[in-house]
Amino acid sequence: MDKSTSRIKFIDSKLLGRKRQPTETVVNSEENKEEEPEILIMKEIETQTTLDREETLSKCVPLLSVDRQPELNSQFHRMFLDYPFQNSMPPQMAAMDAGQPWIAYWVANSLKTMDPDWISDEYKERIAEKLSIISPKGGPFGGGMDQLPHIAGTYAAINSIVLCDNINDCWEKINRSAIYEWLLSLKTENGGFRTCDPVGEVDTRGVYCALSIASLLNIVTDELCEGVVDFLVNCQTYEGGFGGCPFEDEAHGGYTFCAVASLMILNSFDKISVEKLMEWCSARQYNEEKGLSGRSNKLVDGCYSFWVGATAAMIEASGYQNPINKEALREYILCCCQTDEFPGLRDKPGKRADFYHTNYVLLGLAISESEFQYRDNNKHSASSILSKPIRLRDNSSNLIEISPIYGLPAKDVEKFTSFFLEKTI
Amino acid sequence: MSDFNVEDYSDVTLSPLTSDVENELCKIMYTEEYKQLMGIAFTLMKQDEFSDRAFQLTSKIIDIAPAFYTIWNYRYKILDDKVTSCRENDDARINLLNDELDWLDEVTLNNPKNYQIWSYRQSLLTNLHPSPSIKRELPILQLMIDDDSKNYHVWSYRKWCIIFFKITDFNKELEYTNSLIDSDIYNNSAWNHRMFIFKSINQSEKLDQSIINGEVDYIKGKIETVPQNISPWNYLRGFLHNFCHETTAVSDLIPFAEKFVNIEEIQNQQLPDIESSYALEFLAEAFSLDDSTKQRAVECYKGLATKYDPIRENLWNHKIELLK
Repeated sequence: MDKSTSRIKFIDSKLLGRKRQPTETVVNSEENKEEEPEILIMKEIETQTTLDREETLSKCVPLLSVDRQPELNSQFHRMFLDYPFQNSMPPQMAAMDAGQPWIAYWVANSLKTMDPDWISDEYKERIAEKLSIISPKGGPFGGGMDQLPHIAGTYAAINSIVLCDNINDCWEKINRSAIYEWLLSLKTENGGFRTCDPVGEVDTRGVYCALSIASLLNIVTDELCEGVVDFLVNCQTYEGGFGGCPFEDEAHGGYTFCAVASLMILNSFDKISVEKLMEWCSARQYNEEKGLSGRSNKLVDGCYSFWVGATAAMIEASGYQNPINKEALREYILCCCQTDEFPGLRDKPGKRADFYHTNYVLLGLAISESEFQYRDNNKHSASSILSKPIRLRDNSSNLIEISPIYGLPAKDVEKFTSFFLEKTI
Repeated sequence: MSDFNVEDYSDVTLSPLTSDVENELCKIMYTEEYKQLMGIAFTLMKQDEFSDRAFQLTSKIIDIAPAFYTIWNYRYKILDDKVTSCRENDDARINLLNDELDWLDEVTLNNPKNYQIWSYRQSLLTNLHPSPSIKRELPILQLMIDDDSKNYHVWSYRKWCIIFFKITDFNKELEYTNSLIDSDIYNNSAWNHRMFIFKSINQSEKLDQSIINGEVDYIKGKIETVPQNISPWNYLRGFLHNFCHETTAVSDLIPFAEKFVNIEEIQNQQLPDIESSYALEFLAEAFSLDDSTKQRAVECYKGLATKYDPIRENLWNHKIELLK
């Protein structure tokens, strides 16, 4: 097939089918009231945005109005998570070939968040072994054996090893000085980090990965952090959230989490407009679905329970009002992100569960059932955020306390950072 | 460029994709084709082979594994090498790089959510291309936005282009956001891009008052069309904050916002139906600015917390606390 034909075919199948002209209808307020009594919208125009929203509402609202106490089906989800650790993965998982440490982190972290005993010593040994296959020298890590070192791969690898309780002295084997030198080499002029050299993106995600790695390993230096706060501050937009790159990239849940967690690590939370950030986080939650969206006028997605929920938790730990309604978020997660038919957690009704969503939905659930504060109000360090379970009217999901900055069990973060506390680069 | 032919690689020993470790965690059962292609690629990479056949192999692999960033980096190094070898001949270099951009457009159309494409493109334009042009960039961006008008990477890349190519005529860019807002008034990415444009204009020359007034009228028109739409309200507040004397400008817009809310009934705690919770939020903020109207602001926030946007109760209560 020559180029032009393939392009036309693509346009036919992918573009024309989806492109819709806006229909200018003013929705009758009476009709609207009958169908959705809570919505007070009087005028609306039908566009792609409203059609997508209506579809989501039609799937979520019936699940939310079921008259029973929703519970986390932990044992069922465990099946979904044990599978990849006990079996080889099917060929279609080759799509994750460049992100193998992510699978280890998402799966191990989900298991441990539900029950620390679900990560057996055998799992821990095999995680440590997998990472030494990926990087026999102890880091930096790529997406798999022989792949180039990557900031996200290294982030996921370090997070995975944090979960392994120094089994077989695996923490000793991490090559901190090599990781430090490599992170320095990825720094860009504008205060960001390139995810991979020579070609890789420079955004708040890269900054967060670099700072998370460095603070966990106790290799943060002034040189490493030079210009980083300015980079992050310039990513806050007029809406209050953060974009991926400085100077008005659109505010987005994932990038906002990355920027805010980075500022917490750098002890620079006061450099931004916290008030605008609170407004933006709070506007992510919708009255009808009760879950969180990642951007203005976009749909709810279970993964933002963590990206936005953890941002809200960091705001709370810093002494402000938490801008999110945790109880409602919990309801969205338990009613809309799991089913009895398939194990694992998902984005929204109609989507399939995957490891990414399972991890971030579970972390979001843990956040929705906890309160956050610094252990010592005078001394703010990234690893000293306490998360305490809230007493709930319904049954608690019994998840362990997690760190909103690192997306890891709080106890593991504490253990890991104290291990490296006295070590120099 | 000739097509991929596996026989061109018959001399290459395949690198293994998995270790000998028994029971390796999360081992993927690769297809035979995948094992063969990646196996060849890893061997060639280890030998630093920057040949045509290596280049063709990277196309083939990106086709089946577009997120495989190591191959993108390998391709970039080969391209860099090719560019260096024809550094004396500008035409040859430009042809080579434009062919590469054509190929990249095809890959982009098939992989709308991919990260690597955009950073690869940026590196190519920044480091290799002797005469990059924004005209060459816009059509593919247009196609991608036609497919998904909120594609984050595409908007971010478009913004990058405006900065990289030092664009100073922003009218076309404004018209572009107009057309997108016309087809979906809720498209927050388009609204956000507008703010970027005005900030850029303001950096090169201070925005004059007629432009500011014109833009405020534009926003008001869009709000009148659909009052319950967070995008233009957020944008309005941001625009006033960035380019106007904020407190005066906000106060001036109280009568406008009151068109969507029966403010007297709200003050009397009657909680009538309203056309826009965002108008009420705007009014609450406007009333907060002046000591004499602070109690009015409290009533607005109470209305939001109890009836109009109750899920955000924590925020509204926090705002009430600030007013005490």
